[in-house]
Amino acid sequence: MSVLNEIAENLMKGQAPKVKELVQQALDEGIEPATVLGDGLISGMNVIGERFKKNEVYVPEVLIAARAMHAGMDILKPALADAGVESKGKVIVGTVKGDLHDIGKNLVCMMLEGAGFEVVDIGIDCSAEKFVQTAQEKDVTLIGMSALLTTTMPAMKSVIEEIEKLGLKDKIKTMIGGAPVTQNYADEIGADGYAPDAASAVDVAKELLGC
Amino acid sequence: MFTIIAERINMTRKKMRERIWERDSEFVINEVKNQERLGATHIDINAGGDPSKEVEDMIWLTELVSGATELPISFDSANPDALKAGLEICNRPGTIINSITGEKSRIENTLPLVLEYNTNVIALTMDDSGMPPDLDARIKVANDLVALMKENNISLDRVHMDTLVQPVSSNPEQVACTIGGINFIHKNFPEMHTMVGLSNVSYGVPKRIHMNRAFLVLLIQAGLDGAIIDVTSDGMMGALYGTLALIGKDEYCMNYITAAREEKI
Repeated sequence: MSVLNEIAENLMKGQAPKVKELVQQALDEGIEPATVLGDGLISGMNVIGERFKKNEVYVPEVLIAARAMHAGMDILKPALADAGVESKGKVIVGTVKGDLHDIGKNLVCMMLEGAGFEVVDIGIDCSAEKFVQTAQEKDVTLIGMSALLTTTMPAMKSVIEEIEKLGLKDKIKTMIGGAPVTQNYADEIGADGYAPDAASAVDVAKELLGC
Repeated sequence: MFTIIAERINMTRKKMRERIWERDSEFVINEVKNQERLGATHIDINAGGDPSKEVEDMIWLTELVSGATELPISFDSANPDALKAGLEICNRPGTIINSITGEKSRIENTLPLVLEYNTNVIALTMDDSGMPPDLDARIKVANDLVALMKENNISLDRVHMDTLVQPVSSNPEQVACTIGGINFIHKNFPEMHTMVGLSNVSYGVPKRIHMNRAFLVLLIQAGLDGAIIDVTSDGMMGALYGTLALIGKDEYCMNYITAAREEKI
């Protein structure tokens, strides 16, 4: 098995120290950092994502795969920076105002990072101002919002209204998710995208950012 | 008495929500009667499928449920208008408001209803600083809530304190905190009751019923005397009756034997 395949396999098994070792080995063998990222780490997280969508792997397994990804990235980040490799795009992710649920949001962050995006996790109970201000400060063009309560879903609309108010609707796209959220609701409030789970969120982000 | 709040009439569940919006009375009545048959002491009603319809859905559900059983209701809402609408229709002895927290807005909205309608209340050990990160944080809010109840002359035996369940899949270190919180209350405020929303523990792992049942046993050992559960869940009531018998809360195992004889477990 090639070292890149080994990286993906070990990532999927959550073997963080092994992934770290193999990433170093891959770089030592002269493989391009971008290739180690894409064909090693991202490729492994991709499989985890597909399996998670199908309920073939469960939350803890996604967590340990993400941990292995981070371990690999510890080695890879400097090499990527040296080689001038940029992320696929920047995404802000947060749970809306009044809502403290974060597991799904955290999984979305992991899956987006696992797909090569740079993620700004603004946490839980985030006001519309926080979403939009952070987007402006960090020059981010995609906002992902999570809500787990029917009572906090309307806060998603507030964020979109804030974006419109500031005349930024063309510049900043939005995607939403969470157990009570639906495609219908996304259409109703003018969100640009909806995803039913963390792995699908990656597909939606790719589509919205055109990558 | 172990308080068994049957959780199925909850509009955040897709199928239930759809049937309720179709006003399928027969479906709901069947759920009520089945949950009662299997040993529920309370029927939980959550009408929170769509916030703009919560009050009207609560009214419809309360009328239906209170007509289908004599059991008291647990009104599951953070919306005081919905709570009030339900309580106006049915406020029999043992009625529970689910829930209050240490958050300022929840106290403002819910405490007056507990007082006005003289109900029992489930109190969650969280406040405006968010989800408690550990046992100490839960204990702090528990103490604050006890003080609040005493200030308002609400006797502690009307209170069911819930020390907040987090999923073991994502927050495994919280499991011991929940259990520790229950044990703290059991030891320090023995006249007060305890409560958990059991199924939260198993979010994110397969075959959730095993995890739910195992958690129930651990909690009862720590002093739990109430739970919001799916009484229809395979083996759940068996584990409950068995554990209560094992800790000496079922003289001569009579409840256990009766439940077995009546094919409830």
